[in-house]
Amino acid sequence: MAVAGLLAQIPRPTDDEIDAGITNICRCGTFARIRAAIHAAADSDGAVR
Amino acid sequence: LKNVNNVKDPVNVPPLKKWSRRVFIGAGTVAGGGFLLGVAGFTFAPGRHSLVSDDAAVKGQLTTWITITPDNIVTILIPHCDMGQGTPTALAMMAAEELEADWPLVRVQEAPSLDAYANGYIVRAAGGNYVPAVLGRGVDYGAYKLAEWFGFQVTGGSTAVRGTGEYGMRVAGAAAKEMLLAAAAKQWGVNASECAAKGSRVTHAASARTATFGELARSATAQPVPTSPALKNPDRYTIRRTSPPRLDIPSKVDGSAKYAIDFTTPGMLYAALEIAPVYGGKLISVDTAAAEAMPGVKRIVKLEEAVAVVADSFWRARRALAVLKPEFSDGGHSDVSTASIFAAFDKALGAPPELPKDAAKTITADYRAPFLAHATMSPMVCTAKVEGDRAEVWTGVQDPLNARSVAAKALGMPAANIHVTNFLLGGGFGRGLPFNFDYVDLGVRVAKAMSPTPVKTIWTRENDIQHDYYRGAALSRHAGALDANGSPLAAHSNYTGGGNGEAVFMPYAIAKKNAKEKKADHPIRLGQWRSVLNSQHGFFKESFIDEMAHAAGKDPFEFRRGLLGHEPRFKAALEKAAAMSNWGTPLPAGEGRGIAICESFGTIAAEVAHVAVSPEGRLKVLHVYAAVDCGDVINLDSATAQVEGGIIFALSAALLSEIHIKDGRVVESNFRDYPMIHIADAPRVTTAFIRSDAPLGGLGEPAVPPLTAALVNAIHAATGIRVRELPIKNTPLKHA
Repeated sequence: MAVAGLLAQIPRPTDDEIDAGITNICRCGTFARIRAAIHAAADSDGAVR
Repeated sequence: LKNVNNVKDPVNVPPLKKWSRRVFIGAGTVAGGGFLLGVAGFTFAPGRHSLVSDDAAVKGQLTTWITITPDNIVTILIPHCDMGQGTPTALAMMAAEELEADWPLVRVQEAPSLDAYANGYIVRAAGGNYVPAVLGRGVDYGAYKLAEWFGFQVTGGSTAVRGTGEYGMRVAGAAAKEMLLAAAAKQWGVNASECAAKGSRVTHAASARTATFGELARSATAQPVPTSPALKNPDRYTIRRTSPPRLDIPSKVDGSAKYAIDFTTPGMLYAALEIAPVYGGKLISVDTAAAEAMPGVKRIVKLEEAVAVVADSFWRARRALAVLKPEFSDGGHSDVSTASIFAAFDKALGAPPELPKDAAKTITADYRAPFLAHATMSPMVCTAKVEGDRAEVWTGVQDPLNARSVAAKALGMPAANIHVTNFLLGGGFGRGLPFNFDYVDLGVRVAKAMSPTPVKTIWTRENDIQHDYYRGAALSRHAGALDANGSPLAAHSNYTGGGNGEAVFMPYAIAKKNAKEKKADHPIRLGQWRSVLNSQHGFFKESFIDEMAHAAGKDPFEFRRGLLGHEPRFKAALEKAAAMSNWGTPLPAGEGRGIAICESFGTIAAEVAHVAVSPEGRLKVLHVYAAVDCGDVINLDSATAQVEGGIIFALSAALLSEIHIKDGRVVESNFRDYPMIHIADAPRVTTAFIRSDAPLGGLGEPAVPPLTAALVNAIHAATGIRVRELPIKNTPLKHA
């Protein structure tokens, strides 16, 4: 939900914008993967596959 | 395991079960010595192998773990829970590899909480006799019996893949394959050795005949179970060492995965808890009138050490709990504080360890680690329904069988009368291990008071942080000696807060290395926290060896490397991590690299942290490089995720986490005062696995122990400031 909100405001966020916009805690430590996924989502056409 | 207070009486040992016809391994070695010897080097309960249901032939069940249905779907039964670590997928890959199953046709299912699925592997890891070499070879019969007595069906100790997988799944898959080949050969009147299995299909090339596993499954169950099926040459692996997507991904994405918090049952009520703030305290009094008059409140349940509000929604239960002003006793611990505990540690340690008299140079250092909470993403939940002499429990634990024992004791009924349904865990980190089941204990007691109405007792984050089984605080006092050439003569430590042979082990060729435990008891409740005692000792010993390197005027990597000639696996991992990080190449001012290496749970992990510290003291962890030798990897992506996750978990704790004790109670209560790092603080992590001929090591924990030392060593390289107290945020890093 946080990422959907971020992408609604900033369709192609930079790493700094992700740092500022995503403040969720991930106890599994997947931050690097979340960052990659945000960039992948931003680069996609948004279609459900 | 400490706090061993609710185990079944070990005197009531059930009679030994006989090996049955269905046993497919070890039968050859049983003769003579009985199965005492037959299971040596083998992990599992013999009963497990004999657990084939009466309708096995109908259902196509080949062994305990593997079911093949006529639709050619292979289902692997997983005797472990999933707390996000990917164990079920890895175990299924190990079985499917040997079975020659077509991976897209493989499913997993968690085994029910039955005695037949007890696993003994954890016992040796947790029992204080931890010997990595022995663990690597499996667990003996004695450990199995302990598991049976205690009712363990544990996921912990980084054991699932190297225990259940290595000694169970692989063999089960190979045995099932041989049975399928035999069934096909019989059907076609050919020799089984002329048939081949591949992609969930058996083929006889000479006659161009082929049949799916599903078509052969029923007749395969009639085949004798091979006693020692041939295992695949690793060079021919097609599933292992790859990264198929985890089987649980769709359910996690579409929300169909069920956690304990998701469970509901008709007529269920909700309970909110307030527990005695000082461990050992009791409920003295509580005025219930105001809360009882609030909307939705059904009853205020007074327990010995807690009070619960039961209501028709959790929100209403919490609202009513907030107006209760229960009075609790302090258990006689109101004078306990962080300061008093560390003062006792300091006193117990006394003078630094003695050093050789002929040393050219000596150094001493104290390192300090705080209490830590697990803070699993999902707080504790237990739903229970108590009716007459029977009970149903729905919860999320790392050991459903021990949870059942806890419920049995709390309810005063036989374990056999209790059915436990285990759900996915939203993180474990050791919080859900045996002897940590106060949430089951409290949950079933609340439900007993409301019998026969089912009650879901939900812990808040405040309950969780304030009533954990904490990672122990520790103070460690080190003394080291160098000769005139800067070669180490001795590296000793006295430590409080617990330790064991593995945690204090230093691989370095140093003539004198003594680590001695000094006792300083305190009443804070302790448990196992990801990587257990290695989490403190990795920081202590790998910080101190770094300090010795600096005292010797040597590069910390080269200093370690020079002391590892006799430990080729350690040396290779250290060199790999250094190479990955471009160790030795120049960095801008205010940046530094630090290295550390630890073995835990049979895996060696070397890590390099690369940090930048601004002149004002603002720390940024830029990159962590990890070189990991766990023998071999099963699912490469899941293995990488465990290393990345372990590094972030350790990093968050090292930078920020600290549980304080004041007036006998825990001060922190939520993420506002027990903070975690965020995405902006997370470094890049690069992981490399070293394939060695060592037995499979664990992966859930081994990335944790070296991280903190690598980090403080990097801060020293960047600033000249040596951090000896955790968390790091407490040390000012302002530098010129």
